[in-house]
Amino acid sequence: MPPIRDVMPAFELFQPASVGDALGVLDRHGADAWVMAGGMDTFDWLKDRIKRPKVVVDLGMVEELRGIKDAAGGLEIGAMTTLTTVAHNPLVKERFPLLAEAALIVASPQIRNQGTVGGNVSQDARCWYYRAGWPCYRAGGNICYADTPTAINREHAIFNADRCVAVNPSDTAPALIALDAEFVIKRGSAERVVPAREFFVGPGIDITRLTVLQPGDLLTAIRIPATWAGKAHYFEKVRDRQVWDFALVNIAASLNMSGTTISDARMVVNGVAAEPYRLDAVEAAIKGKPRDKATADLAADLAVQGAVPLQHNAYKIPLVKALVKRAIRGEAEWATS
Amino acid sequence: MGRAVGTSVRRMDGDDKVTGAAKYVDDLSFPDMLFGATIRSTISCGEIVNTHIGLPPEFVVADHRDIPGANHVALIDPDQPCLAEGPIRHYAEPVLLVAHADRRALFGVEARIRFDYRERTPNYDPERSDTCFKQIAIDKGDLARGFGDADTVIEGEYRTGHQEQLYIEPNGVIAVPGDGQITVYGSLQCPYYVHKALVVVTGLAPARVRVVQAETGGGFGGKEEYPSMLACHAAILAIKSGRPVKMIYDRVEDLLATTKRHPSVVRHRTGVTRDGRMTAMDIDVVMDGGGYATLSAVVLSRGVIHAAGPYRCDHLRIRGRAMMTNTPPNGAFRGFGAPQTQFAIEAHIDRMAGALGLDPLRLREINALRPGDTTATGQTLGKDASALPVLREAVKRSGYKQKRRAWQGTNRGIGLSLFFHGSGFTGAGEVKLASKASLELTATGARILVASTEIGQGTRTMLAQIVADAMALPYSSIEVHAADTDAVPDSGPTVASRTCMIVGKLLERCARDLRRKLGKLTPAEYFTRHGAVVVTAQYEPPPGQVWDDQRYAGDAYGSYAWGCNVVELEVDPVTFEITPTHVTAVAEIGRAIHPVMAEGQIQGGTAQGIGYALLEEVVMRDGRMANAQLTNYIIPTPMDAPLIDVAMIERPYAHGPFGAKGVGEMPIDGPAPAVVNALRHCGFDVRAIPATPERLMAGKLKVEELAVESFS
Amino acid sequence: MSPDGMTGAPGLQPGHSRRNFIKGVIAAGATVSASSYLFRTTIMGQNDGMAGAVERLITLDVNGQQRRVDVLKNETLAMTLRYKLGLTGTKLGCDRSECGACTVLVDDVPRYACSVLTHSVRGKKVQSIEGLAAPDGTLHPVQQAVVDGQGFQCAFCMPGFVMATVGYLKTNPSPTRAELAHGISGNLCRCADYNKILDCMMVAADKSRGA
Repeated sequence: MPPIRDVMPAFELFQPASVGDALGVLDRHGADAWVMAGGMDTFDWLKDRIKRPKVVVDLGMVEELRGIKDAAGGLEIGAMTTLTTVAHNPLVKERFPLLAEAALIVASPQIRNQGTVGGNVSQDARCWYYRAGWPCYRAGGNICYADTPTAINREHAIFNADRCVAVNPSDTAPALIALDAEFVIKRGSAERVVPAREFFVGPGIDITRLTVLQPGDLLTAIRIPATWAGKAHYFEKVRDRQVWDFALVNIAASLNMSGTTISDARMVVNGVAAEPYRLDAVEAAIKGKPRDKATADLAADLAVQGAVPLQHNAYKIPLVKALVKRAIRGEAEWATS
Repeated sequence: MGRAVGTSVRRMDGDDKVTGAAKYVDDLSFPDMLFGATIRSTISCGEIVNTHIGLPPEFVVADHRDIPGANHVALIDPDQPCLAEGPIRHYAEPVLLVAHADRRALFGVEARIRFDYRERTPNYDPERSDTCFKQIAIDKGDLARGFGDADTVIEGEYRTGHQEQLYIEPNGVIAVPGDGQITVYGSLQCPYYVHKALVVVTGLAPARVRVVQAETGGGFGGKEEYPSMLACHAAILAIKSGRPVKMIYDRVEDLLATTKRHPSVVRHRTGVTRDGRMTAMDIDVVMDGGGYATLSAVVLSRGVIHAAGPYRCDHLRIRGRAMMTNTPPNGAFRGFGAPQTQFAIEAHIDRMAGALGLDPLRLREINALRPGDTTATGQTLGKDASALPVLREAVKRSGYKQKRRAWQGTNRGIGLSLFFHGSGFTGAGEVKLASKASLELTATGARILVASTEIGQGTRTMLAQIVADAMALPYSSIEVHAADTDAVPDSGPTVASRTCMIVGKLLERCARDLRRKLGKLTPAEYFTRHGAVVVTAQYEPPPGQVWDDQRYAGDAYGSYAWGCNVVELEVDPVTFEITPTHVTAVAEIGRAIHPVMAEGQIQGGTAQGIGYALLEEVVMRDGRMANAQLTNYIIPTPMDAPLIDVAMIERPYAHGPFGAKGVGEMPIDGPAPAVVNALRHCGFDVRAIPATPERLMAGKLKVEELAVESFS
Repeated sequence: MSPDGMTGAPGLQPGHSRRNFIKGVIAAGATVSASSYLFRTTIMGQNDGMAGAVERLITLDVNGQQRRVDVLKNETLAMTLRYKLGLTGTKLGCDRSECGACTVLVDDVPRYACSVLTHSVRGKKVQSIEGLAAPDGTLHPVQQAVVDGQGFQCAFCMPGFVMATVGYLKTNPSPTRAELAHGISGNLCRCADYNKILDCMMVAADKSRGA
């Protein structure tokens, strides 16, 4: 065991002042470069010396990556906008309280003051075997230490595990998917816009990363269309402790109501799979139904179809069911359960 | 007279602590200082057969052969090496020390040092261990007769896990070598424990060894014995290099390597009559001591003495064992064995009440110790036996009865616990310690000379209040000398809820003695005429206090503090998240010298106890803590701490200063069982802590299954 | 004279109050803070000689003073404050954004100094606990409220709590108790004096508004 862990290995530091400069540095250094937003995910990796990038690109000086602006009734949020700003921004609170609530429940106040929305959706898995530097699939090896008979895996996946059982830990990611957000990614002089759902990848596609971001890519903004502005929503995060902790399971839902029936819905849970887990079957099944107990029960059962628990995370199955019921029934579910 | 005691005078340490001026050990530095680090074993059991070191010469490297004196950490048994010589009993056992002038150079040194091991199969189960550190037997009355008098016998097994002290300031020391002497500055609770350990390891005469406490960022028992190890390490490096050596643990090392609360398994078999009288108690206590004896013997001792709880029972048998396992040694943590055993009895009481169809409150009222009753060790209690007064006050303040009825069958629960805690060392411990305290006259008042440390609990302030009133001087005229073994006598360790009751009493005697010397003169007048004068008092047991260490019988403590907790909580019916909403904490501590600080002790101990009950779980895998980070080993935050309503009842103890008993530890004995009993009120059968949502889910399912079975 | 045959402590005058302790220690050879905490430029594996976009010698605005300091690229603000600028009031409890003891204000916003690259605060105002009281020693209302209400025990967490509160009150000068608890929830106190801390900080909010 290392006798001390509080200094990072040496690296070359770049602090570009514009997106153009940042892209230039990323282009030059390719896979040697580590993109740092708020740094809240970065420092552990570096201090534990699990990751030893030659070059760190600190985006903190790039002012054009910060800010929230109107975009045709929706919003465009700069990737470097802090979670505190997102949580308290009047436009976000007015149009997309789902996102404001998700941002406000991340980690701790100081972390929200520094951590960014771009960093929150791009952060790496929290699987402690992986974070401790074990040579697992995700780290390029050929074993999953969290999926052995003696493994500690209460935080791990119940859906879509493929060799690796790590989960996506983000609170804002499911909210952004439930709002049909799009992610703007720049690379060199090119720009591509990726639907939020497609921004995240499971182990079947790439076992070493949680997002589509490749070396040289820069997530610059998140666009939220007006579609779900002012619509009903539900967000809840279950965690062991009310501060700092990542979600054991969280749920983000957008509901479009016509009268008392659901005309359209988005429902996403996180903390259960390597990518935020969108409940397509539930979304389809609840369309045209009222927000009542029967709908909730139906949805809850659909939500956990295909779930495969590990030794210590079977509790996540009833948890997902419970959260789905609450998302559908809102306060009513709380009152009767 | 009597103006400071009982009032919440201004603390002595406030200004420095809120301005950042207070100097904790890592805030100090010495010229030419080196930074030391510890290279530890990476196996749990076996021996080191070869060591390969590939470090350049600018590194100072020390192993057991560099120890000038004897290679053990002096405490109770000399079994724990300061640096492993070959045999390894636990993961993270210190083997080598490395120092360098540039702290950053220590990064990665572990990669340049390799041990070849011969591994043996480790044992992590205390009940399968073949090495027993300590066995204790308590017998009272005739157990067979007691069971014969019972209408029914109720059994139960209760388990508690490790708990980490998690002082926010990690362990740290600086050793400064001199001309044939050594001085150690450190974050520590017990300067003379460290002094004793240094004398053994350095081989220096006691007068050549000096220990000075720096400002200390919390201890909770975690800086009772471990600083002795760390101080010896720094001293070995300092002596070898001839330069000051600073060693500060980072959080991970502190979590992996230092002591924790002993895990326990407690089994109860209790004979009880239909109307709720306990006629026989048969209790078996097993504690997991970890790899070395450290303080396990005395932790076990306090554990078994408190195992029957604050209840009378004429026929009982208590058996306790502290067993070796191949895990880092467990040690002192606030409560010192009593939280484990009182968790068991208090959870057991509620299960018994359920089986008898009685309210748990009624069962406690029937059996609670009263003045004149005898404890498990046969100690006859005086008028300050306050089990019933604290119980009644807590029930009244919390509205327990009404809430208990109203919340029946809902997801809200209310539960209580009744507990006590002996103040001071157990049995003949204080006589053996023979603590001394001194008081020195100054031109403006008096200066306290004790080795009792300020670790946040308010030692300096509280002792100055006692002296001020006993001398009839203003509080502001009393100074407190730094805890420096070159300047203060050995007033004993700052542990065991003894500082106020024992050391405070010594100082009260000193103060009255000095007052008599002054006659009608003011300190200034006397000082001018006679110069400085120092008076010293040494501990004498209260008259009639008798302890038989062979039979484990007699007066285990000079006095007991008494407590009752009522915990109210809500359980989310589907996520099983538990939210403690309110805690009522009633304490009888003799006399609160400083009510705000006493209340702080009760609030803090209670909140730590809530953490013990609900959040704090050391996950051990292959003998090592797998969750050694603050995001994985979680303690309460400002959002998790419930409102705690504290009430103090005063029943002055004749032999405490101004009637005071101890308060530091007692508050952590009660919250965990009160939480579990509130959960039982909600329908959850929890017999092990922490009561995590998963455990709750399992407990709930169990109850439902039982219900199904009984219908089929 | 001293009791029990003890000799006078070298470097410590007889008769030191606790407040004098540190002065005593200094007399015995300690220097408070540590420029000697050594971040030498010739470190094993250090590649700072490479051409880079970031200059190591920078000027920081700390507690209203311009401080010229040689900062490694991989250096955190906590390290710079504590071991280069001698501002040891900022504490390190975990070095992992998990305890809050190192909280300082960067442009009035509470941040964990253990998890901020010093180079990233160039051009920003850094305020640590040492910069809070007035030059004449008058305590900031938050500090004063903690002293008056005795809302501390070991106080290793207290500089962080004070800074977190000062920063939070700038964004919400009139919080409810629950809002305040949430606002300063990124700080741990293991003495668990949370009720008293919150009491004090609510008083501080009142006083700050009045100020």
